[in-house]
Amino acid sequence: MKALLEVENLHTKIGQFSILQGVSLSVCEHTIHVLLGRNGAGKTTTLRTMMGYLRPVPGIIRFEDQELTGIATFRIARYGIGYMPEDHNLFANLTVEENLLLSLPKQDTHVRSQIAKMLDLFPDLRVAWRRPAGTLSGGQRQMLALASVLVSKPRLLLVDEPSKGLSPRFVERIGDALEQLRSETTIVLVEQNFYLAKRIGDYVTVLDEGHTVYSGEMQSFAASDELQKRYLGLQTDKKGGAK
Amino acid sequence: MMSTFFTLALDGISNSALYFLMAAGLTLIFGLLRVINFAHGGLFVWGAYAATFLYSAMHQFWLSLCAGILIGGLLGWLLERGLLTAVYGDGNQQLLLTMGVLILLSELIEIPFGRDPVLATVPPILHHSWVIDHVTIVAYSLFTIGMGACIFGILVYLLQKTRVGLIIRAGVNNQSLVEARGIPIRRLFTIVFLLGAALAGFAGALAGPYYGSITPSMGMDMQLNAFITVVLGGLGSLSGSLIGSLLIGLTTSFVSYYTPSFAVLANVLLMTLVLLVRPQGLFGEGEIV
Amino acid sequence: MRPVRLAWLLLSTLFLMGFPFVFGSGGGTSLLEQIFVFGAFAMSYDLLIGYTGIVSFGHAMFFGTGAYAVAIVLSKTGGSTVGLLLGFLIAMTISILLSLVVAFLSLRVRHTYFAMVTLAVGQVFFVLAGSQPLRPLTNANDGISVLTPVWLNSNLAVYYFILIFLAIVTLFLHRFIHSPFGEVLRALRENESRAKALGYRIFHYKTLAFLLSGLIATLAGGMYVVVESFVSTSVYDIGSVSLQVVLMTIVGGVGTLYGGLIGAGIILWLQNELANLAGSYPVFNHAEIAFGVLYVLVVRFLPNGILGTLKGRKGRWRWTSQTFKKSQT
Repeated sequence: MKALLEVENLHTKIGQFSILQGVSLSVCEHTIHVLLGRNGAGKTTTLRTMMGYLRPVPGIIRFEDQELTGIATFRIARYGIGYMPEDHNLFANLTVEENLLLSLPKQDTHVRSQIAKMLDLFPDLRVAWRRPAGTLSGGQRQMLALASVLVSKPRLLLVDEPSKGLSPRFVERIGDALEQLRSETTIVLVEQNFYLAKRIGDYVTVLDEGHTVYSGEMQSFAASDELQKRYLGLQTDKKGGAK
Repeated sequence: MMSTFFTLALDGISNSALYFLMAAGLTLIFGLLRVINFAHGGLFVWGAYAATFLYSAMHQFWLSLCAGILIGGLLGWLLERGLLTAVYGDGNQQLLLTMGVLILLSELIEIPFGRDPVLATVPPILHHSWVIDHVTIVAYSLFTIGMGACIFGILVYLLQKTRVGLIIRAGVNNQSLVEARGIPIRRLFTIVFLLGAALAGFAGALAGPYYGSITPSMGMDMQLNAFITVVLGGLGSLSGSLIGSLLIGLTTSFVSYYTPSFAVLANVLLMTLVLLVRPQGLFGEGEIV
Repeated sequence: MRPVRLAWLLLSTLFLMGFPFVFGSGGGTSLLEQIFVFGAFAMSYDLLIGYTGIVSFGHAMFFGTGAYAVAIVLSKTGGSTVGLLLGFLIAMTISILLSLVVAFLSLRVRHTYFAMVTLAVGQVFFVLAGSQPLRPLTNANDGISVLTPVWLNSNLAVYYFILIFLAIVTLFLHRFIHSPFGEVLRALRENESRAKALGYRIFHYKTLAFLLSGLIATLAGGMYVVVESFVSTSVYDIGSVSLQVVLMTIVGGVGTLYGGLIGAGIILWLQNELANLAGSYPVFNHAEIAFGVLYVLVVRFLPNGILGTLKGRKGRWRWTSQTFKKSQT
């Protein structure tokens, strides 16, 4: 299968610090690709580099046949890449409605149907329709953040820790939503919750200190206690999320 | 006594309209770009001279107002594109640079027009005043108030009801996320800066006939009052600018009546009082409308 | 101290000490006196902008207050030495109170307020000094001519008095910047949130830096009266004092201390030359535009100033910057 997104040998500096020193991954269409790794391994920086917030020197990011390196963030978004950051992923001063509207270009004729679709996917948002996003609960916020990325029908979705700080009930629902989306889009997911990652991921890439150290199918990674122990330092008998 | 009060109050409110036009631009620009435009007074003064010059040459009042708006916007555009883009993110550089532009603009205007006051006349249509119960009502003051109110209405409509307004409010909250939504924020920076600059030019064009004469140094004076207004009202808040400009406009008018030179002192004391209680100004940051 | 630097110091000291003997007490010497006064003023400003990273557009409030306090007390006491001392003491007291009030008002929220508030407060002083109700004290727009103490009546005495003042200020600032307190200020300028995390009470440090900076500026203002024997509202002027000192500091080099002295020298010399030219050629009447242009060009293209750029060639030196990144991940 041809890869939708190809990342090769990414090196990114923030200030004087080299955060990424050789990240590579290849993402196939209609799959969920999970990025794993310890805190500070470079997962968020990888996503931010893909979105054009940071410039890799050197490194190649290819989306379909389009080279993304050195292109402005808003253009990258217009190629059909949606990004949901870990924090500050919605506009707290805008209402739920406005948050969704902002993601849709003015000339989009399917505004209504798209928004209706989001409300079906996340019914919780319907009640809070005219409330400022800043007043929502943690779970509602994550749903809105996800919805306002999805509403523009991105072909590739970069999601940074959607389950962070959520109760198990909401983690489940975020997981369900992401799984449903596999048929429509492609997802790169940064996730600390290994249980969730295991459940919905098709492929996995493990980062450590700015390098790609493992890439492969989630099934075999999830099945092998040895791999998990080596790359994530997980206890073999433990199911839940680990650092 | 009452009549003096109402005359002064009317005068104060028309002062406020001018301060509001300045403060609204400053606040919009700061809200989105995080830049305090110290050159705002320079745009004001150029707007004033452009309008006055054009009016004395052609006697077309509306055209002269347009000239003020145009010159303000044009200078703002040049300033943003030519100088500011290089120093986004560096607060001190922005302060120093825009202050430099203010000096430069005030000095350059002296070359053709000199340092002495230039007379600015009120157009005949607005050259009326009525005395009702000893209260003096000046037509041009009413006109200025009307213009200020119009602009406030337009800005609120723009911010609340249009897509550009939606994007501006979003940008005030979170710039990088706006970009991730496929919106070029830098282009918006230019638009908002141009808009704020045009408002300053418009304020200048209105101010000429209002004060009766214009001088190159009036830019700095206006700038000071506009700063006091936004600090008092809360930087980045349009309602704050409105309330702040009313307070400063009325204080200026009443204090000037008794001792003209103490108006600045009174305004600064008012600002001091507000800052003592609320260091972030009357209206906090974050909400632009 | 390295030998090269020591040699420079000795050479320049000798030059400055011998200058009046070689060139007489004419134009050159009086220009130097002005440079000393404004050099000390600019160095005090550098303590603020360069070492603390905050911009003030109203430093004239200190300079002018120093000048007016000394002038008023001197004129009331008929130019006695006691009057001079008393004038400086009163000036310093006002200066301390003023800096505390301004710092409390505007340093609590964000730096940007500070620039605006100092501009406004500076203008209040300008207006007050020229206002009619205060005429008994300030003589309003006419200014005050003062008699200086007898021992300061010769040009040479004034020259050396100011030179000693400059030397003390320089020495003090040098020691201060290299003290533990100065180190903290620099850490604060480089990374405010980190310094905060380390437990430094940023507001206190900034306030103290502002207070010291203001004190030295006040003293410089007092010295200005000693040099000129005259004071008018122009000592509070935004353009010719508050912004002039910004220009001097950035031309010389922000955060280099001695840059202020160099900048003062360059600007005052240029001003002097341009004024001379304007006397013979009316074209130069608008010469101040040159300073506006110079200001913008330096800020935009030479933000480290002369000394900073020279230093930057040798070692890495970064221009202070405060970023306003709101809600960045």
